[in-house]
Order: sequence, then C-alpha cells, then structure tokens
Amino acid sequence: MRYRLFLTMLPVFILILSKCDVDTSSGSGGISQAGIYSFSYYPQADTSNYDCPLCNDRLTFQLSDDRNDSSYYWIGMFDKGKMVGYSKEFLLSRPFQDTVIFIDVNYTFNLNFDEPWDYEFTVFTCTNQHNIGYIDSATSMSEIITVPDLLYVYANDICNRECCTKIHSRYRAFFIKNISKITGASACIKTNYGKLCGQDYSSSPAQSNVYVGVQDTLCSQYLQIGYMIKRGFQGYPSIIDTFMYYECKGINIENEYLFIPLDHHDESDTFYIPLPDHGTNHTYECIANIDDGKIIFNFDGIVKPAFYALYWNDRPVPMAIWAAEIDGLESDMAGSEIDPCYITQCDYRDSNLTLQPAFFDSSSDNIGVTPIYYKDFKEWVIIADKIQNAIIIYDKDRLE
Amino acid sequence: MKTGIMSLFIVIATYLGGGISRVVEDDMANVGAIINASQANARALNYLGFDQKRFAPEIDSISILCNKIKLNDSTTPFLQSEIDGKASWEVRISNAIFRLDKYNLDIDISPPAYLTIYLDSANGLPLKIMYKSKYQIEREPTAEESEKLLGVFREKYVGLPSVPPQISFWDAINKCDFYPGMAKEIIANYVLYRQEHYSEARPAWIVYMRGLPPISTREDVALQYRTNMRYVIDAENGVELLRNNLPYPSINQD
Repeated sequence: MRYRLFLTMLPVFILILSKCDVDTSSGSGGISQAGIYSFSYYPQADTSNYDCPLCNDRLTFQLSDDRNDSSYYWIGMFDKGKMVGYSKEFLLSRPFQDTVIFIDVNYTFNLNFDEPWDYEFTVFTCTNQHNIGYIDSATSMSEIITVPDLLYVYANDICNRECCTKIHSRYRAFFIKNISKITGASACIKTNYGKLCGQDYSSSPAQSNVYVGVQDTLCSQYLQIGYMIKRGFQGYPSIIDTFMYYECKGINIENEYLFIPLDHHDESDTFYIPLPDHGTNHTYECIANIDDGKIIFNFDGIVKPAFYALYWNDRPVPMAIWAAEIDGLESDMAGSEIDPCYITQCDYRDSNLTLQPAFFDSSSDNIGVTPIYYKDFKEWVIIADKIQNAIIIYDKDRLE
Repeated sequence: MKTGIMSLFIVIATYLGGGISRVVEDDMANVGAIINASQANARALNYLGFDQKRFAPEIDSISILCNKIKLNDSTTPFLQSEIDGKASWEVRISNAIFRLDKYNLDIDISPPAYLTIYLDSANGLPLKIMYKSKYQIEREPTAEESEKLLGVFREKYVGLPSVPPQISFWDAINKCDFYPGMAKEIIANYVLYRQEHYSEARPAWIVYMRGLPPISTREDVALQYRTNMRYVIDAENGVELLRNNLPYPSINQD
C-alpha cells in the first residue's frame, strides 16, 4: 500500500528532484577555514528503488596541510551531530597543497524527498589505521585532528539500486593485543552464523566472518584464520556458502596474498575440514616462525600443510586480533544478545613462540566496534572477560 | 584453419546416440602415439571425460576441430621448456555446455568460448587443457612468476606422466568447489606433481581457474590476487592434494 502511494507520488518527486542542483548544493565557492563543514543537498534517489533507498555519492575534497609527517585521512559524514557514514581511508605524506581526493561516501536516507538534507563533513587524520571511522577511540588517543585547510567540497550524485543497505568497507567488533613482537594467536570460537543482508532475495555480495589473527598496524602483513558465511558477487548465482578459511598477506614480497577456503571436502582429501556447524566450538590457530618464514595454521588441532612466506622472515608483527566482521553489506554480525558468539581461550604467542593468555588487562589493549552509520551507533557489542580470558560478541539488531 | 600435417573438422550432430558415447567406452589406458585426427578426437573426449550425460541436452550439435600443431607454451610452471614446441594434437571443442555435478553450474562453451585439449602426439597423453570464456581477463602469470609462488608450498611439477590418468578432467574439475562454472578461464595440466611432504611424485591434475568472483572481499588486496583458485587432484584416486589462490601475475610488471 505504501509503495502504491509512493508510485502515485512518483511524478511529483521527479519534478522536485529535477529542480535540485546537486553539484551546487555543496557550498561552492570554497571553504577555507578549519573545522566542520556543512552543506545541504537533495540526495537524488533512484525512484524506482523505493524498497531499498541508497545513494552512493562521489565527493571531491581539495585538501591542503602544511604539517610534516604522514597520516591516514578519513572523512566523517554527520547528520545533526551523529556520524552517519565515513569514507575509506587515504594515506598522504605531508606537507601537501591542493591535493584533490575523490571519495565514495555511502549513505541512506528517508523517503521524504522534499526535505533537504544537512550533512556535515569533517576531515580527520589518525596514525593508526584501526582508528579510522572510530572517533571515540581516536579521540582518547589524541590522534584525531581536524585538517586546517579544506578548500571546497561538492557532490556528484550516482545513486544505485541495491536491495540491501549498503555500507562502506568492513565493520568490526574487535579486540587487539598490542605487543612489540607477536608470532601467533589462537582461540576457541563458537560458530554463530547470522543472516546475510537480503538473504532471501538478494544476489548482492555480502559476508560475515569471525577470526583470530596477527597483523601489523597498516594491514600490509597479516595472518588470519576463522569461519565465514558469504554470498557471491553480483551477476553470479546467489550461492550462500559457509566455510572455514585462512589467509596470509605478505608472501614472497609485500602485499602478495594467499587465501584458502576449506569446505565441501571428501574426508580422504588432504585439506579435509569438517564444516563448522552452527553452535559448535572449534579452535583456530595461526603461527609465524620469523626465523624462516614458516607459517602454520591449525584447526581443531589439525595442522594444515605449512608454507613458507619469506616476507615474514625477521618481520614479527605487533598485534594479535580477535574479531567479528561484516563486509560489503549490512549483514548480521556473529552472535545475538541471547546467543552470543563466544571467543574463548584467547592466547597469543610471544617472540619466542611461547603461548601466553591475552587476559585483556594491559593499558595498550584496544577493544571496540567500528560504527555503522545507518542505525544505532552501537549496534554491535563486544565484551572482554578478563577472568575467563574470553570475548563475547553479538549484534543487537539481527535481521529477522 | 591452422596449418598442420593433418586436420579434421567434425560436427557431431545429434550426439545422443552417436560418437561420444562410443569413444568414452575406449580404455583410458590405451596409450600410444596418435596417428590421425579421429584417434586424437576420441582420445581427447576420453581424457576430458565427456559423455552424453555431461553435456546440456539443449545443445544438439557440438563442433570439434582437430589439428596437429607444435604447442606454444610460455606459462606452464616448471614444465614450460618441456612442453613448448612439442608436437601435439589440438582438439578444440565449442558449441557445447559442459554440465558439472555440483550447484547446477555449467561451463558454457558456446562461441566465442572454446575448450581445447592438447595431446602429446608421441604418447597420446594430455599435456594441457584450456577453457576460454567470452570474457577477457588479465594476462596469465608467466612460468617464472608461477614457480616463485608455487614455491611457497614447496610444490613442483617434476615432469610429464608416462601413464594415463585414472580419472578424467571432468572428474577432477568436479572436485573444485570454488566455482568452476564461474571461471572466465580454466587451465588444466596433467603432470607429475610433488610437494615437499610427499616422498614421491605422483600423477595429478592441476586445475587452475581464473577470473572467478573475488574469493574474499578484502579491499586491501589487489583484485587479481583474489580471483584465482588452483586445485591439485591426485589423478590416480581423485584425492585433493592442495588448493589455494596461487599463482597470479605480478602487479609490478604490468
């Protein structure tokens, strides 16, 4: 019924939208002072897409910064003081002047097309990639700085049809152990699949996974092992797959990437792994021997064939991470309030490959959730249990 | 049509009662030099594992082009110099849909797509199988690039087998879960395969799928690192020996 009314009003909306000058709604003429910038514009909706309103704006920012060091930059998008979206990070070496940055910022909006939207944009810098999009944490670490010179901003509207609420990049509930040299991490993870966004009707890509891993601060070198529920990519059949996986970034050289999905195997196969069924507990472990680059993964104590990643020779990483993550679309994070995802026996290996309990009791430990722009800022919950050496994660608002 | 000592163009019409079901009854152990195109054709279908139930029924004619050639190869890791220039029979199949067991996915060989098997003319054994879809994708990794990445798992293709495979290409590709029907290109080799932890080399099918939907959504990893899967299947018993996304072409050289 609601849709019928909408269709009736469609010509009116189109008339309204045709009068909107999206490009000039950005406060053209330049913004030259530091701080938060606000402008109004009409998101130009794909009016055939009233089921799942989504726009994907490409914004252009021209930046100058005369300070001397390198930082990540990211742009937060605010509606009445609430962050509703943020850009992918970009890395710049300062000083720079009049650098033009093109960024896609995704946002959702209500169906009331005749009201202008007042959005505010703030350019942030931070030195730790994990603080991108995470204002609370960044602020507490004094890593958040507004950029002195944001010259101007405008928006080109490129609305797309999506039958899910699309979010930008990946979102996580995470616990990070920061130690100078970490060579491995492990945990027992309770398998808890949620729904993927649009699970019953969409073929859009979506993913939700839980993992344990080790990594550097820039995500240029990591090991990760966990389980995943995933749907393929647009244009392909809507296969929903659940499997265990492991991956490694940095093999012979920087950025080379290894990914091994494990499922559907015959028991006789070398790589046979029983599929992690919903509700079952499994142990996951990754180990990097930095003396020879030997990498070992094991699942329930079954050691997978080792491989050799030369890039890891003498390159220990400083972080162990236990996390749940979604990517691509607004899918369920693992666990619900009444049936959370438990990650227990959270251990890491020190520089001598000796196993140590994480315990989550150091001032350098870092726990958090990255924000979601569409709903409650704290849609996901993560709790560290220091006594049990465990993490509890759940999604407060699971898909029906 | 390519120049060659012999060539034969065959269109099998209404194959349902005809040639294909007959050739797959041939003994796969029947090894030996190939002396003519019809023998090459029969041997090719045999090693591919094609029979009538493996083609989509809506296709009622399959074209098979058969040529004797010198095989050009610059990409097969470890064996490139052995394969390159080898006298071979090239059997190219098109206008077919290759039906897989799983997920109801097909490998579409409708023109301009094609599937080619190269057979060693000296012993009739498969050297290489190449499926090309209608889509263009980035270049293959060179033999050198592949060797470097396959060294990560201490893999080596130590030679070409002297005995026929006990399982067909069709059997091998049905072991591949991620997802052959979506590959834009499939390259398969029948090789003697050795990994560090195996004491002896064994005949294996290498099934290397390229142009897949990205296997992970990581934005920090180049797309061409995420669109390949390679399976190593023991050609004697069908056991999967290894799977991963290696190799891929080096980005720096492009």
